Amino acid sequence: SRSPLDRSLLRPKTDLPLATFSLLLSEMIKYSNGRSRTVQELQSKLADFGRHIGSRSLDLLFFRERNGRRELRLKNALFLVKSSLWRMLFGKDCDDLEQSTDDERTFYFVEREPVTNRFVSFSQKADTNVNCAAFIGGVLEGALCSAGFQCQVATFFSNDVTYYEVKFEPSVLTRDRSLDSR
Amino acid sequence: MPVYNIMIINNAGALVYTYTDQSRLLSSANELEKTYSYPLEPVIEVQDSRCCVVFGEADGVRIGHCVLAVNGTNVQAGRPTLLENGQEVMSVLANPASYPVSIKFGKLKLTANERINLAGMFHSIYAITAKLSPVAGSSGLQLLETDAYRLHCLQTVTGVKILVITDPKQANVNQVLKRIYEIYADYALKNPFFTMQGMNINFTLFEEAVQSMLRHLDKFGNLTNLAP
Repeated sequence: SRSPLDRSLLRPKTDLPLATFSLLLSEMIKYSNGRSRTVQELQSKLADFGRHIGSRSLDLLFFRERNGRRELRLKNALFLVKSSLWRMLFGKDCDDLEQSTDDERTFYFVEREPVTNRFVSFSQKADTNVNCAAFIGGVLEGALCSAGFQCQVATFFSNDVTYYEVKFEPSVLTRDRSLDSR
Repeated sequence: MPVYNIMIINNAGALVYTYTDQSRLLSSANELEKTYSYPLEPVIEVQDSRCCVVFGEADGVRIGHCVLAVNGTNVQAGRPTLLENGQEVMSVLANPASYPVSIKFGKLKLTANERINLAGMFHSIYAITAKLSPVAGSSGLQLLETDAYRLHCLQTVTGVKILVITDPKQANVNQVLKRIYEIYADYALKNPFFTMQGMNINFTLFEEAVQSMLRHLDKFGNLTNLAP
């Protein structure tokens, strides 16, 4: 008689009801599209939706799965998001996490098939590059910012793969480096 | 290819999706070429802006056959009453100096406009057939059979009709209709960029799913083990 409050978040028993989620997300995208004039506006409206989810899921994760133990180091926070947060929300890890070679403040999360894009496609002739995974980018930004690692996340396609580009504030890097010296 | 044609008609009677099996159109099995001397035996007239045989079936040339080429010159693609060299088909055939003339007969592709009109007509016919039923709650036209093809129709609860035209001997078409309905529900209805008002369905994931279904049907003859 395990209540839902006792079940582990990281090994969800029920599958995400994909059809319901997709229909709801589709309405959110149509609503935002009707109020946006450019692709960037649409993506930033979707990211706004996601930010709320990010900060709330982070609280839930820390409280239920980690007994209130917070991550203080940058790399550990990134790994926490890549594995635990993703598993809690999407049932799988994020595909990859890379650091930019020219900028130590920038990291890239790589996802080949974001759940938001499962049913979304465009005509072959269209050159629209709306990436509805901007929603997930917002989740990412909300989670990292609430964890104390201020950043900005941009979502884009490259070779049919979705990249979430995370750019941290310089203060985050300075703080992290000072913890190194302790 | 097992399926000749797929059409989806929305609940207002507008055609929103067409798939045509291209390989069947190019097959020369449907064409025949015959040489005639003056005067021409089959009576050819202009109907629906194309030149068709209306009388005088002989040697495989049937009523409804359209002129595809005269003396080796094809008709123009958008205007089938003209040849590619600019001459009018009817004038060439009326001129005794062109004889003996060799004419290629066959079936011309339906234009997009014609398809839209026919879809609207089918929408009305479906409603009529439902009304003619002596019992309450009957569906409309579900199966139409000719000696060359069968037309299957599935009407969904929202009034969207899925039509599939196949060979008369093709089996398991109900699975195909159901699968197309699933594809429509997934890649059109869940797509935020699909507006329901008569917009054509033109999405890569939709086309890929239809192609994958057709390949599976071609290979196995049924859709029972189709991966979702």
